[in-house]
Amino acid sequence: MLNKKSTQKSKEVTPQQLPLSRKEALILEMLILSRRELFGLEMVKTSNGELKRGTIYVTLQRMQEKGFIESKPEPRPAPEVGIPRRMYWATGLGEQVFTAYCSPRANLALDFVPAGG
Amino acid sequence: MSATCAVCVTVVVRTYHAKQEALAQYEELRRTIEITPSNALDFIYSHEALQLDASITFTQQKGSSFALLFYGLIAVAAGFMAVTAFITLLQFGKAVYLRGHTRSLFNMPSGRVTQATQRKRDLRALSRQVILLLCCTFLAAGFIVAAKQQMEAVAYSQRTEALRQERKKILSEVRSVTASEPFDIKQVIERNKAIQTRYRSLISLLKKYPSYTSKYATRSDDRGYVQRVYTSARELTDSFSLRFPAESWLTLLALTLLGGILAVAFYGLLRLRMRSISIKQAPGSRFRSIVTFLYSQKTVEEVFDPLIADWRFEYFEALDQKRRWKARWISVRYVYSLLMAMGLSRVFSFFKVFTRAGK
Repeated sequence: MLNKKSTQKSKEVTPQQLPLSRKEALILEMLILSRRELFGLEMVKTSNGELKRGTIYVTLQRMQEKGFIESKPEPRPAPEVGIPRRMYWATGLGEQVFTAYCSPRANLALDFVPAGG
Repeated sequence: MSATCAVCVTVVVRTYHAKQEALAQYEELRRTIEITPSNALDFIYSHEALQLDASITFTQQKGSSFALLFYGLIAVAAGFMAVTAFITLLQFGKAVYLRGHTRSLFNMPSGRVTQATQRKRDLRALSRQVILLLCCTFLAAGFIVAAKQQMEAVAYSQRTEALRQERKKILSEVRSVTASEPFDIKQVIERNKAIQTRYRSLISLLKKYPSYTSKYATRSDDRGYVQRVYTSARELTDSFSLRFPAESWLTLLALTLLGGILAVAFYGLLRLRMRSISIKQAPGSRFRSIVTFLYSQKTVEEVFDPLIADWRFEYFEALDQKRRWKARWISVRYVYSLLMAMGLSRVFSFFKVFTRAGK
């Protein structure tokens, strides 16, 4: 399905034209490089002000919809109650998109990225 | 505290200006009467009488105003202390009764040492109550001063009106006298000086020995005027000895009652405060109920819930470190973040609907 969609686009695409914004790339980078699941707050603190508390979860939701990342609620022991925090990790697609984003030959990414995001 | 100060100062300053304005009008009118050329004996009499009245009344009012404020504060404190003493006695009696009753119930020997119950006084609540009490007292005192000034302003206005009437009357008399008889200005001036000297000495004498009035009052030609001067001098003497008229006593009584009411309110609040155990909601609870109403469950779970969870995580972390102000600042920041997220989510959902419709 991905290949079918990707073949619809034949013209060259630069890294800036990939369906990956700067913030999304940063989030993917953090998730891939850390090699573990991260909380949103951890990403905000690591980003040195590039990611904001008010916008990160909206971005993460968007990335989840695109299939770049996945999430689950933090597992908590039985007596603890309240809203659980959410942990995020990069999917295979996300890793490939990030690799393509970082690659000098951006048009290679067309094979992996679904058209229209 | 600052709001109380602002209200008090505003009211006091406004009433002070009103009073000053009324006083200025009064003084101006009085000066007009003073400089009006007069040659009739009646005018000098009236003028002199007005001048004496004005100066005496003004002195008396000034002294009484400060005294009333001073005594008013004492009255509030006295009322407060009286209620405090009453409550203390009541508590003491209750404690003695309960102690005896408990002993009789459990048949406890009086010398037995029981495990001491540790009772901690909440100093923060106490300090808040003290600040509240100070604010109330300050507010009450401010309003008393303001009311007093307002009353003085009204009194001056009334006196100004009386002066106007007097001036009108005098001027008409002067006109009639001037039209009918020729006059000797020198004689009038001499007479004026004589009157001034005479009544000044009379006032000073009356201040010392009020019983001399009857002697002076027997003189038929000056009886009415001496009586007036005596009354004014008596008022002046009263003001020096800080004696209050009946309405001032009523004011003081009302202030004492106010002090009592303040004390009752203070101890009532203190009691409520000591009894109540406040259970607060975790931060973000209200926001969560709002966003649950406004957004889909998926958006709430993926966007708002993690944000609120982070908020609580940071908030309680700060509270664990005993950093209350940092916790408050975190709350402020997260409220802003939540508002941002709410706005952004709305924008994205709008575009999503828009693009789907386009397809």
